[in-house]
Amino acid sequence: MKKLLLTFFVVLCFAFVSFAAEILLEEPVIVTSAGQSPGALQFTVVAKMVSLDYKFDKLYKAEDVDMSQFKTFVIVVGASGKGLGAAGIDIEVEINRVLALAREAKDNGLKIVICNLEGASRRGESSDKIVTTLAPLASVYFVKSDANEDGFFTNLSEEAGVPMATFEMTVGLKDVLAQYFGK
Amino acid sequence: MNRFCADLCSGFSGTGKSWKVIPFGGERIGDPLKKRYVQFIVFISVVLVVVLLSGFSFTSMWKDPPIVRGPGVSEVKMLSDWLPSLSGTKGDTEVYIIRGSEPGGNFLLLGGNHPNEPGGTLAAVLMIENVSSLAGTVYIIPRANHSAFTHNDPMEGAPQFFSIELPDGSRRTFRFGSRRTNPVSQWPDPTIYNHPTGSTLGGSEISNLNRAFPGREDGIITERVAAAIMNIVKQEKIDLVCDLHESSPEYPVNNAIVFHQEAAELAIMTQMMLEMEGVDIRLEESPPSLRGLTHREIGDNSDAYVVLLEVANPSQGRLRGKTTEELVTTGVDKYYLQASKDGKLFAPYDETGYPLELRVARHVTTVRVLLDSWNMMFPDRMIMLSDVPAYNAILSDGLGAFLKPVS
Ligand SMILES: [Zn+2]
Repeated sequence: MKKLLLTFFVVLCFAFVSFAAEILLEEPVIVTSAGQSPGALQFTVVAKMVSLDYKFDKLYKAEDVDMSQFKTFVIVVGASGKGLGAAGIDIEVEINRVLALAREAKDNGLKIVICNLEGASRRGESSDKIVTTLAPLASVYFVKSDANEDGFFTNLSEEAGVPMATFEMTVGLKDVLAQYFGK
Repeated sequence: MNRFCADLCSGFSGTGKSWKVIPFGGERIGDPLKKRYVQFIVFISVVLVVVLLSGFSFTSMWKDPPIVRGPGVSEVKMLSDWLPSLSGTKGDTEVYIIRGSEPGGNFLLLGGNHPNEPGGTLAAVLMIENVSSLAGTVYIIPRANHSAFTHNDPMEGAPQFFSIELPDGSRRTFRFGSRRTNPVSQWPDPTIYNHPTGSTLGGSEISNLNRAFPGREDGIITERVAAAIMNIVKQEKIDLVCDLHESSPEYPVNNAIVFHQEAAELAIMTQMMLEMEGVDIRLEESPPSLRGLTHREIGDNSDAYVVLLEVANPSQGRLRGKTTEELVTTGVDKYYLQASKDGKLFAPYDETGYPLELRVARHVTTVRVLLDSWNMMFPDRMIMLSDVPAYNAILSDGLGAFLKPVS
């Protein structure tokens, strides 16, 4: 058991990460999903590993949240496409919900992180539409490398002049969070 | 109506303008009637031969191919031990129990919920024939919808059987069954299926075990099988359930862990650890509105954490060409190759196909890592297995290396 844990954390430490923390992010953090895929839950699991001070609800609404209590807004993008998760999700409603939250966050001076944690499997028409709609509000991108094979996120980050951190494996996000939040 | 049939029918009906009604066996039998007699007997004989041959072919799937008790199996029970009304029906099936040397958690592994998804069945069989438990108890049902193993889908052109060669040159045969319960067990399907949860589903889903949960103890066979599995979960205090499936490569939920919301963290840990082992798997949360599935209903109706695993199976998909035994075992198909080149698939696919050993290796490895994650999260309810076939060994040595010869 100890061996297993040790292996897990050794591999964690060597997880390949490439980025430069060009801005520093602050806690507390508010996290939501944009598209309702499990990426946002993945974010919270990794956030726990670095003891990030966060609040999470995959369905936060702008009118129910006091953004002034937070310093950073993390939007984990991932639409479920035609799969199981497509049941009952209207992508336009979802975009409007998250956009309202992001505007509220911007007005309250929060930094906004757009995050793809599930790689190429969440690069589709709906997911891309969410990202491009939110792009003007982004302060930084956290992106799993295989979601950026066509340079989609690189282009967005360069156009807006905001930084982007990429990581090869989901656990690589741990190092990104540690760097950006000074953990 | 062709002439042959017209001749025969007119013998009975006598509706033809130029025909007289002459009873069979009458005295005034002329030559044309004699000819009709012969034609009738030949026709009936041909029908009988076809019916007999189809009957033999249909019932050839009723015998269970053997599964060998591995060194870890301490007991084999029947599903009817948890629901006696299943006894003597096609829904009754073996439950293999692997008890640990130390106490721990209880794990239920389901294969063959859909018998046209052989990767799930074979992964369960590999576990039965190889693993032992160091801590905790494992219940394995390799043919969860047993009735659906006793026939295959009409009009699909799928083989009834496929076999795997063992290192000693012998072969183990398995059935390629149906997604649905045999109509011999329950027939006909209603127009609308009034599900035990109060929702309504399409009528044909009444014979799909993975829409029948949590089941009805006094329901039709498929519902009773689901109820018996629910009884195992409750009476044996199952902590963790894993349901093994396969899916068409063109279906978005592919090479995936589908998880009940309570099992989210467990599934995420599993995905991250698998990724570190080089096995990419996607996560899908079970939508609350999708009723009758294991991950929804067992999760909602018990304390167990529930996940369902999917892996791509070209022999099950709609884009496939000729459905042969070879397609089942190699997954090589030129139409899927084209679909992959056109970017239409949700699983990596090339000339090497999607062989059964790869599909089984993915399942077995995901189960091992799922248990590793479980043990990290719930050290007071450990489920520790030994001799789980390794991913690379299954790929390099083949499935036969992990199946026991049948004497
Ligand atoms: Zn299935």
